[in-house]
Amino acid sequence: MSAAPQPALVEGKEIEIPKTLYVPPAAMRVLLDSFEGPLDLLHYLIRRHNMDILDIPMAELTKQYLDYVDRIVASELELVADYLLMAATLIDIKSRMLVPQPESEEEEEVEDPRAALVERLLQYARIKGAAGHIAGLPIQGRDCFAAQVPRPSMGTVPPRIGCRMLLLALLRIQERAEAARELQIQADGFSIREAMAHMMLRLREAKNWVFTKMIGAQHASRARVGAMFVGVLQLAKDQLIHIDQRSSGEIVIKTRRH
Amino acid sequence: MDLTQIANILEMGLLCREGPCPEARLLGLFKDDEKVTAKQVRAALAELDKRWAGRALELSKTAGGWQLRSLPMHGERLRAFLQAAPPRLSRPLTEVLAIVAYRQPVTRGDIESIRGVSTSVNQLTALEDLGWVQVTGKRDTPGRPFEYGTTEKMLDDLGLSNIGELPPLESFFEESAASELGGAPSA
Repeated sequence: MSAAPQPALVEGKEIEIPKTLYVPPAAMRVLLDSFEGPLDLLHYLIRRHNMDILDIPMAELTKQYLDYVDRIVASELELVADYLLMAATLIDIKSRMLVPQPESEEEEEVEDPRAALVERLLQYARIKGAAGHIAGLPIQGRDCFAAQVPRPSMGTVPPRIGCRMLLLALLRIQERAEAARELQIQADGFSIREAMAHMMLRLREAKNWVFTKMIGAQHASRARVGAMFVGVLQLAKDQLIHIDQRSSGEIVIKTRRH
Repeated sequence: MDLTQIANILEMGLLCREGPCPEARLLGLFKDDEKVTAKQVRAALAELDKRWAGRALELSKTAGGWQLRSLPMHGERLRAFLQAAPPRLSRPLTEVLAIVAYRQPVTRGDIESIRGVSTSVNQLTALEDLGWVQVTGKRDTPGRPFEYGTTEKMLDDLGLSNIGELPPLESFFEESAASELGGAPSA
């Protein structure tokens, strides 16, 4: 690869570079930047020189391609590797075409070394066409916009509150709290656990107790009676006492001694 | 309920709703006792289409359903008016999109071998950001590469009902050969 393009020689005669091929060096970089890769460049060259894509003149195409790639390397594009790989492919195809085909008697068709490249080029050309078609479609957000009546948003309005309002609210809350406190019902403050402890204590004083006496006569509160009753059941369950009902009907509680 | 009334209600629903609306959802505009059938809705949609013909909006049907949208011929005008930033569709981006659309499911490797360029990450990311392309699975080959496909949003945004509405890939060769002959690629 040479830095300056050499004049092309055909059968020893120099031929002129077609005028359309000449690109001012300053514009070269811009032009190269506009290629989407080696296939795109090949595609461009084939069109540019009116080559038949199905019968590519490999020598000519390879020469043109290398000439361009030379400049790409010089301008240090990121995609140099891709272009060089294609250059190697082109040279490979070219050299394979130069090797004379061994004459086979059966005249079986030998695959054209260009076939794979042509297939890729055709595929790429189709995708390029499809991409152009897609880019030309009316695209929402670019060419057309959905008609939509914007829904009015009910914005939240911050309430206007003054110091006085806050104070009044506080007073109201306190008033309500006061009223609630007055209504509060005082608990008896006699839990089942307390009832059990109380009974065990009494049972240490005397071993037998009539249940009604244990509760503490008629003026015990309902909560106290309830707590004592459940307490007795719990103690019996824990196997700390015996409960015995006499024929007279009264219930006697005894400690259980081992 | 007569056709005009149904069409009016559909028009209202389409204008006030965000995004394309499938036919089944449009039926939800009517109460059960109004006894409006899917067939009547379709007839009313045809009526709406006629109603908007020759005006600034058109009724369009895409993969996501029905929508009233502005005419593409006024795209530039409206874009400037709305100060909308259109999706930037560079050539590499549309090429990658075309490959995904026609060859889906495709892997990054497929895309790169078709384009002959070893970078397509940026384009795929941009397309994913647009909501046009998504990962559809993993290929059962070494490395288990991601497979990509197009989305319903892509069909909606491009005004397509299904991917089959894109012309067959084979039809493009002649066209591009004719239009690009002798012309330098546009940057």
